[in-house]
Amino acid sequence: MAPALLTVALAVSPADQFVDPFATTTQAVDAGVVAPAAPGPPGADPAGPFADAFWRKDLALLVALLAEPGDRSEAGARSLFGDVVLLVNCEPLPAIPGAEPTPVRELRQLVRLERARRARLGKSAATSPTLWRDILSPGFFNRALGPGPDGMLLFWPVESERWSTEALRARVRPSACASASPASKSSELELATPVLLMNLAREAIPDQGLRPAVSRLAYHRAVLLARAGDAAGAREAAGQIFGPELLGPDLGRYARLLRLELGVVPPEGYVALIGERFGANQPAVDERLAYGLHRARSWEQLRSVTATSRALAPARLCDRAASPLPRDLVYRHAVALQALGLADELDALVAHAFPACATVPEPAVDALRELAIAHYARRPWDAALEARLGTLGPPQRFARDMQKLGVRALRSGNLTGAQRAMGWLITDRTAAGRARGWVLEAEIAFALQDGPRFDRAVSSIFPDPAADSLRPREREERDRAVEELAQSLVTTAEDQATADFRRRLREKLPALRDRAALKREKSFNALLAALEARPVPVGPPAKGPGGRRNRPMAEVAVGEIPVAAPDAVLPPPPVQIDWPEPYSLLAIPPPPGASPASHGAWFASTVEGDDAKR
Amino acid sequence: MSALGLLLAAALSATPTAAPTPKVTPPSPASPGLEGTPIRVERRLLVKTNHFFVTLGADYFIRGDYYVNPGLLASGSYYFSEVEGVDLKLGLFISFRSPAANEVFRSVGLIPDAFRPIGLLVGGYRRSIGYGKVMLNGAAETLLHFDVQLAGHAGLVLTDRMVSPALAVAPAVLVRFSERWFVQLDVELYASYEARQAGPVAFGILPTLVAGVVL
Repeated sequence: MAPALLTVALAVSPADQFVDPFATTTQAVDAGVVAPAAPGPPGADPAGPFADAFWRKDLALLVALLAEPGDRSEAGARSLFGDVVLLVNCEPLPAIPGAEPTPVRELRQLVRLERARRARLGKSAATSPTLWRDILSPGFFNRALGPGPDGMLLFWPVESERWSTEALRARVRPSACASASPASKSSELELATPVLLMNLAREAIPDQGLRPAVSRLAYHRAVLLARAGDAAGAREAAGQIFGPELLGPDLGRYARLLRLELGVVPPEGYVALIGERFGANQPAVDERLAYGLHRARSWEQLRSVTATSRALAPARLCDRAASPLPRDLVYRHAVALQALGLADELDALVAHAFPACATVPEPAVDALRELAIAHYARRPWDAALEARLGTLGPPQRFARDMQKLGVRALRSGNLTGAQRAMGWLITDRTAAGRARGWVLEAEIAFALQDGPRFDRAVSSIFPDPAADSLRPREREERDRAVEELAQSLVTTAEDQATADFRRRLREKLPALRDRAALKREKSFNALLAALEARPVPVGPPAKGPGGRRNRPMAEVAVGEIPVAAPDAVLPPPPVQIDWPEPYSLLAIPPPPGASPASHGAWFASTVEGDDAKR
Repeated sequence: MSALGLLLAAALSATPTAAPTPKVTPPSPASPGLEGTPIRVERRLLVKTNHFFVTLGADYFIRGDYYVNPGLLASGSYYFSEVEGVDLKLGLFISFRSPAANEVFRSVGLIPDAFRPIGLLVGGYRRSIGYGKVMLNGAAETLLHFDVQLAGHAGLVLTDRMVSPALAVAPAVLVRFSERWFVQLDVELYASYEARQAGPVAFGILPTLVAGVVL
């Protein structure tokens, strides 16, 4: 017989002697299918075999490959995948040598960052929407030497002779993940440093496959800093997100929201979030979205986004203990309806919110009340309107609201309405209400430039001192109304009043000042000075720190100045957004032949959404 | 020399180590996640557990007693595991005196006192001690998996004069040709009781080559 290539091997130990602890796992890889490890062709990716084993979740193969001798070109891949094995096996990670080159050093740092995250998550890691949910699941990685029941496997020593039916495997040390979560030497923020982010971002300029990893790191750092109250740092980190779309649709939309919240992108950008779903954060996002649309004066979209707020029952909507967000959304919905001229819908909305919300002391409710009053001021006066007005607040503030209605009606050209309001007020049973009626009457007279009528109204505000029986609280309310009147008249006198009327006003203001409470004297003096075009009187200059004289502060009159109101957008109430975390912070080289050849974060099939998939 | 012979020689010449784990150069103790040493794993193709092996083949009983004993052999084996099994053998010999014995008879009229074997019926135990594979010319289709075994049998050798109790031990090779077909080679060393002048025990070698199916 011609000498043939004869290869004989004998199993040195019967397979039956090995008890495979994972022999029944459904995730075992068919050992007959596993390709044997073979040296790659010249120029092949040195990380290829390791990446291939990892992405097949074949921990037994990956551990075996790492234990096999390799050449120098594999050093970086070996150290990185060695860290990955230690991570998924919950074993201590060694320090990164100082000589480790970039980007391996940064990628290994990400592994340590992930370990630090597990330490923070603690016991909740096993159920958190992170890769720890997978790592802490015993069957996630294939640790088995092969499939099938005991006795079906043959074990051969690793020799240079290779058989196509044999697969390189190794017994993997038992996972230490079941023990208590190890304390991390460093916190996440200590690991996710600006230097790490910068170095990784620099590598990602030529290597586009690293950009998702940079974006994930930037997003995670921004969220950590935002949680820590460092808004400036968070803004800087969020600005380094390469592109929210690189994070996938789920995390990407939160990245866009984060950049809006941190001011990296102006609030008008909220409009781009329309139609995006944010789960439990939807009310908060809707609130932000409504604010952005409000600022952008996109009324149709604002109406659409805030429409769901109408579905809440009045009792729930106006529950003070509940979140203020629905009330704010109702207000912005009302703004949209008003801007779109949908009067009937607006009436219905106001009727839905009041009187349930009448006693809720919130800016949004106040703004909604003001909006309703402004809306009613343009309507013909009738009993229904009076009844609606009564629902907007508690009874004790009805006179004030009626006066506002009259003023709004006057300024919107509804003189009849203003006079009806005035008529209602001056016949009110309360003295404060009557005083407000005369204040309104004075404003009507001023608008009409009717001097005698103005004089009569002003003199009627304050009755004869002997007959002035108002209680202190009523006096206070009257004085405030008078001061507001004075502010309003002085503000508009330059443009609207005749010279004769300005003279008349100069005569009346001191009388009003003298009858009002002493504490309002300064305000009246400032108004008089403004009317006479004199410098505003200031108090004695105060000395600041270091003995320097502070600049004199003008005593500016404050109060209701409607000219600035139309463009004002109510700031949104503070919202709490539960920022989701990236499913994985890792950046793992892709398997050979992967397209696109970008570093992956984790296994796509396990990620809800695709915020972290490779 | 046939390929089968070569296979047998190779199998028998290989020396399995006694250690339960392969002896290879130990890797670095710092190798991440590693317990023990890397190994190569293969799925067993020659599967015996809970299977019947039914065979039919030829044997040749060599006793050095002036008889030539070719024969037919049928056997049935059942394996409890990949290591242990039992079997039953039934043989029929077509014995005749050798030409040398005939020459002696013609010249001096003597006949051997050995008993002429007619058949045998033995049962016994088989134990696998190793698993091997062989590939000729590097061609995957020539890959054969085989089991190296030790067998022990006890039973009866039927002769022309008596029924002799017998014991046998044998190295054996079970070669898988396909999922269904296989060949088994036993080389049994027999000892049987016979009342002869040289002594009460007759020794012999019984090579058997049988082929069969796995049930």
